[in-house]
Amino acid sequence: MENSLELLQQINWFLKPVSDFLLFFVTTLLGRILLLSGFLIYFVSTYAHSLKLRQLAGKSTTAYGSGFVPFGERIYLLIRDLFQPILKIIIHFPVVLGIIVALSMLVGISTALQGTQAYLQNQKKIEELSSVVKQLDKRYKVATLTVKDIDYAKGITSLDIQYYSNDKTNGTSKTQSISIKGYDIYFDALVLNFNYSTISQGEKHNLVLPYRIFSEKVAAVDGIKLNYMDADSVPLLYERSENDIYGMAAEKYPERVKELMRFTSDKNYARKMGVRSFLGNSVHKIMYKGKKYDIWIEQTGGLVLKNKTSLF
Amino acid sequence: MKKTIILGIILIIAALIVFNYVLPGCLRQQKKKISNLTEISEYLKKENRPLAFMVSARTDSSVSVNLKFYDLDKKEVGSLSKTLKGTELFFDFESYKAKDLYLAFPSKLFTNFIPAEKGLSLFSFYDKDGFPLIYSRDSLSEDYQNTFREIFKEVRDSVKTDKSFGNAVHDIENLKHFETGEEYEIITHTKGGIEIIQN
Repeated sequence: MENSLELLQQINWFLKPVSDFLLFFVTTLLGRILLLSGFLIYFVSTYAHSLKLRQLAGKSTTAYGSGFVPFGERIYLLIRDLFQPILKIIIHFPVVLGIIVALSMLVGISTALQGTQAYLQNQKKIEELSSVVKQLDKRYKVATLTVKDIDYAKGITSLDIQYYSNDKTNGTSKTQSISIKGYDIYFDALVLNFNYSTISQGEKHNLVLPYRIFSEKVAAVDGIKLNYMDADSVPLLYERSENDIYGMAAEKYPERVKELMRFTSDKNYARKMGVRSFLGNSVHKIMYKGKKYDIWIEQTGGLVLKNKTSLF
Repeated sequence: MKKTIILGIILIIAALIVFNYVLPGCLRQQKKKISNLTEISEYLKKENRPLAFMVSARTDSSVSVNLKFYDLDKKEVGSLSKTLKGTELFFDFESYKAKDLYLAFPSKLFTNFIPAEKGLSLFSFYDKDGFPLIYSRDSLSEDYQNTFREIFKEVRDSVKTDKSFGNAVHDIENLKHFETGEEYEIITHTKGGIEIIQN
């Protein structure tokens, strides 16, 4: 599309000014006034010239003649010089028509090219905006909480936490089982949000590192640490199969993840890389036996918690 | 020769139809689509800033904070100052889904040392006759006020609903503390996420 736009711009580079010039005289008030003024100047100068010639002719043919042009003759010269251009146009009508058609075609082609250019530019803008909306509207699943049991006598909730890996080839992800006092369960994570401009270009995803579980009865400092790393200490959310790793050797991938962790400690580096915020984020809800809850990271920023359908 | 002329005339007529009728129609449709996409993009990026705070003092075991609540016109509608035991500050919100967007209501203030149920309730600091002032703006209709009163009542009464969830944002000890004397704003997004940015 870029090449087509460039080609149209190059073709129209010459046609557009000529077309605009012609349209100016035909479609604008000032242009018409100028055209009319031009015709009047032509007519006045032609008439003045005719009168002058007639005066000189009078002087040369009559000895000591004054060169006076009678009134009737002046009227004749006026009418003749007024209608002569019109008669010339009528006589040469095919040529004039041909010129008008050619100029109209030039204007038409230029207008068509401009219209096509506008269409292509709009298509490009639509593609860009669609991509922005697509990227901003994305979300990635972080974990699913499944409530296995609630002991109301002891006030303890037991649940499984399934962490999601982006490894599409085998789809495995780790599950952790925990039990904690309380019913309003807080899933706490470290969240790193990038600027909209970075997200909308699809360059980066907002990052999340599951951190701990606590509840309305258990202070965060006493919460349960979450096992979210695999055997190579790569956070599961960033796990990739070899086929999904682009632009680097597979063994370099864990290093890259650790580099991402640098965002958390180096403020200047984070700002340079377009990080908008880095914070702790706990989503929570009073949980019920058999219910499943999904936790997502939104590309517009932050975590959200959504219900899945109940088992019972 | 005759066929060439006829073909030429057909092509010219087709070109005239395309450029005078089809193309302007396409351009109008495109403009509409661009306008829609721009609107969606702006909606996705829409933010509210109902809360700003500053940590005024910090020790090994406590933190002092000044909070201010703001309405949609960025007018201050409430404030509080508090010292709490703990080293991480938690700002808890209730995120309520109304139609296509989430409305966030500051619900509690607690720390990593304080269980959430013992946190300080924040509702009363921006409640005026049952209306949440953080969603106030100039010239409110009766319908708008009533709708928000109903939603706020549901949120405050912790009505069991699938429409809402809790969302607490906080700093992180040893990694990212709120700096003393620095102003922070809490941003709530239409899609339900919440974040804190430094001013």
